[in-house]
Amino acid sequence: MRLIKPMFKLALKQLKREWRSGELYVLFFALFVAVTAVTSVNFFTDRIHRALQMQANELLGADLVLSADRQFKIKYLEKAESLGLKAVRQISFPSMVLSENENQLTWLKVVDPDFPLRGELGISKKLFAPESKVTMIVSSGKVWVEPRLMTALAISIGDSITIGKKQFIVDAILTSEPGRGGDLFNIAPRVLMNYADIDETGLIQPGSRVRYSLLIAGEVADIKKYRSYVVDESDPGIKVQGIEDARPEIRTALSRAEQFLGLAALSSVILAGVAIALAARRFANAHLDYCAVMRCVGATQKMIFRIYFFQICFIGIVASLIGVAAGFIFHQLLIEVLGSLVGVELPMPSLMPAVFGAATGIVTLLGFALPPILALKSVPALRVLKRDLGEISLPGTMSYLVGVVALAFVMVWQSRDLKMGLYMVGGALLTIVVLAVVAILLLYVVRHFRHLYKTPVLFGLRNLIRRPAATIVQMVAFGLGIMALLVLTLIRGDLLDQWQSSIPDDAPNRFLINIHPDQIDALKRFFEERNETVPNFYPMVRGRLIEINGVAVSEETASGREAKQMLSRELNLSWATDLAKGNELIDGEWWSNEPDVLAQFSIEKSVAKNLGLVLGDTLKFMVADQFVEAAVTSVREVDWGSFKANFYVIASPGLLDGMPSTYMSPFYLPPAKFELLNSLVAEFGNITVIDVAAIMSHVRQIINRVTMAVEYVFLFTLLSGFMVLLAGIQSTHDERLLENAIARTVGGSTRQIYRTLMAEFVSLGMLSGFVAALLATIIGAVLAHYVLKMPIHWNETLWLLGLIGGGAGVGVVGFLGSRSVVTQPPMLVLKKLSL
Amino acid sequence: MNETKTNPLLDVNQLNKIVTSPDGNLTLLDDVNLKIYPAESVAIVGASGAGKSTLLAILAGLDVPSSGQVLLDQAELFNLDEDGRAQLRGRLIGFVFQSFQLLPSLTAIENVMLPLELLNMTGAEEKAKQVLSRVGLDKRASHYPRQLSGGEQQRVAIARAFAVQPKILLADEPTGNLDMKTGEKIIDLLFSLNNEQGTTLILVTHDESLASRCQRKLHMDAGKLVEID
Repeated sequence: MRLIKPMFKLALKQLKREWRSGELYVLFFALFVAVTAVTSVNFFTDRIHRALQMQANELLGADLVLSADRQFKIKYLEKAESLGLKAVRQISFPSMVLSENENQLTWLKVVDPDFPLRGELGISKKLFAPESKVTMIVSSGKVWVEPRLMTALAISIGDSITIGKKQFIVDAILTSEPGRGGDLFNIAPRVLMNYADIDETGLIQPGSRVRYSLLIAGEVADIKKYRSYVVDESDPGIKVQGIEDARPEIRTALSRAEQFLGLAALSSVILAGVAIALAARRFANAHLDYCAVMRCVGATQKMIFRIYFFQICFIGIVASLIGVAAGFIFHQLLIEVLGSLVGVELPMPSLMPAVFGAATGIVTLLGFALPPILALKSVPALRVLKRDLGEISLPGTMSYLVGVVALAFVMVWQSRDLKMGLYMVGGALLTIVVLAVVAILLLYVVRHFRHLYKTPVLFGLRNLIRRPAATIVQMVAFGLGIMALLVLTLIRGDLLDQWQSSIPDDAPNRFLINIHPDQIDALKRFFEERNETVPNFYPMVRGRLIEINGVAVSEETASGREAKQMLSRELNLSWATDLAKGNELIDGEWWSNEPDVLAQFSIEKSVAKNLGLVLGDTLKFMVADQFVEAAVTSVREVDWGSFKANFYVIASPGLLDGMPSTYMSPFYLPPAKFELLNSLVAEFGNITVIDVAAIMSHVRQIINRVTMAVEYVFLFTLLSGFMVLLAGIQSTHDERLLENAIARTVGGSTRQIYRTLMAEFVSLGMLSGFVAALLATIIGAVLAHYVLKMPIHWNETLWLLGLIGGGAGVGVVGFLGSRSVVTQPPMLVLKKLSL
Repeated sequence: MNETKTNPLLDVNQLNKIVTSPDGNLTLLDDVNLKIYPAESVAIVGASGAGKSTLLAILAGLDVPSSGQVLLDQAELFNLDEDGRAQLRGRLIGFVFQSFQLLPSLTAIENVMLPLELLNMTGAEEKAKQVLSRVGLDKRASHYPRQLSGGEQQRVAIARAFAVQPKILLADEPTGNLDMKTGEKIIDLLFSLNNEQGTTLILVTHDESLASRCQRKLHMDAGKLVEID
């Protein structure tokens, strides 16, 4: 113990010297970049989690929310009252809103006067003015609207708008409301209306697609009792959300984003590990003589280990702390890009991301730097007398297994899910292996054709070929970062563009929904009078699947995500005489046109697959308070990309007679005929017009923001790749120094050497870019064919970006990092290296 | 004198060192026997590859013999483990090498302080200053080895070796990398310090004139050690 203090002092003294010599920069910055990446992602996700937990009430607007597709029976309100709970009714659905000259699809929210039960409403009387919090909702005859609706309808406070059959005065701008959530799922601007006004609008008809909610608040114990009551009632149509599972759609989406961002950040940690391993190995190599001398003058193995362990830990702690601070600063960028998706104010983060980031840094550093450092204590003192008598070999690749295993644990920890974590580990390993295999093959090809190259390319490539292990490691490191960025560029640009352009020009761009059966003739006349093509009308009945082959089914009993989704909500059923275009029978037979055809269902193939249905299975649906049951007699494959009206379940004619239904109609509206919608909405106030282009634009915006966030994180991966390059250059520094000194001694000019260096690193960058572009192209093809169901097409921009970007980036950094081998006088180098 | 004759500082008995090579076993030391007494100066001479450095390494506990015994200040050297021998070295032995072996990231005074710090001696800096001053480099204390000439570096190395006041000083070709004039000065310094501290000096050298300055001269040839009168 008495020796610890002098050891520490000696370690710090040596560390100061080492730092000044620049030997430790790569190790330090590799760790710093990795910790920054991990910490910035974790600060962001931590704030999202804390928002979802701390402000769950505000996300719900209550302590408990019941949701259904039908009105709640009075018993639920009575039960709440009997338990002393507060209850507020809420209805929400899409609806058209008309001003004098414009129309707009909105999300109408109709609430009882006591709304919200938790949180506050925020309004302002002027666009962009500061909001004021209010405790009372809008009064009858008036509405509060979101700012973007003011702009879309070109209205001001006090103007009149029409919703359904009723006119309303725009009383205020709705700036914030509990239960809104973020931008993720809110495509249409919100309108807040008093519950007293809904009947007068005439918007809700039998079969209308409306979401009914009952918001409940009160004491925790009473809420628990109420929840148990609702569950015991076993009403299949009712969903219950409490604080702990508020807004599952947001939680699921953010959980996915978190896992993917975490994976992206950890890819930079993996590369940092490689850079640290290379840099630590070089550091250890450079200190072999050092340690031998210390052993000579009395240092024990323990002392030597302590000195270097202190140094490594000190670097690790300082780099990690600075990385954590930088991560905190940079996470603001993620907040800027993605924060509004949640829709509540994000609280300050906890300390856990800092702890995790620092722990990741230390684990990475120790895992990859410790093996060569540990070997230093075994340096024999004999080395001072005779180097060849005192040889020591630094640990081989297997010694880094501990570091790899430690990183795997970090990945599992980051993913918060063992299965997902193991997938991530497996995925990362597979990606690296694939990159390495492609790199090896490419290097083989380059070597095979080297007789074709001219100097300085020849010399540059020769340097790469002579150090195959180092070259492959660097190609994998860069390939990973460049590939990720290319794939994201592909998704953001080419794939989405291609998907959009694959949609026929005259594909329906508007969908009319909530058409009452009585309105069909009038609608047909509407189009005829305006010399427009009369669209087709498709019946829709909202029904919930409750039995298969006589056995009750529900979301709880279903297995598989898709099956649970199908059983958790009402499906759109339809009926048809003929098999529609875009539908192909793959099993069974379509029903005949005879008048008394037997009751049958035709199902889409994913329904058959997800629910495990075969021909002959019987399905029982609950439609409002009625039931309908029939056997499956055919399975269809549907072309969902056709933008036509398609249905998962089609009933034979007559089976759904007498059940509450609405109609929907997809049609193409030429841009020049936009004002036709104003007339249509004015005449048929209950009909909702879905603008397909607007939805696609919104979805694209979300995808853009998410991919931007992921790209930001993968930039750290690229930076880590540069660290690997610099570590590789450093590890061959003496070799390059000697080579260039000899080259200059025998007549080579500085210019020739610079050109050789450039050739080497530009080639390395281009080879890495080639590997990246190749794999990105394959990934893009898989996404196009299997996910977007589009033809695969060649994207030459991807290749240009990969080759030129890789060549330029690696070329510049590599050249700058190795320039010093040329600037030292040859004689000095030869003298120095001959000792 | 009787005391030094009866209690050798270094007592080597039947020392052998055999290594395996592609051509079979190679005998580096062949039944070496040696007694060195306190304050003696001993030169070991011989051709390259004779086994001089191997012997020096084993005497310092840097290497392990195949068989035989080495007693250093009456302690059985190879009964200690590697760390035990390192600690003994730190207390009892000073080294001067042909290639100086200064730590490049430490200044002159820090290099001299190194063995003192490893022994956790108080007043290490003061002691180091004194020794540096003795070798005439007090004004270069804060300079790094790369800023010193070869002769200056060797003087720092000598200062480091003498800083712990060792009982034995081992010098392996101390003037091998120096010009003749500088080498002479270094040797003068070495012997001067040796006399001042009464250190036992064991010197490996090719230089006959240097060897002749020592009290005893041993000749190494093909692993066998023979004393020359």
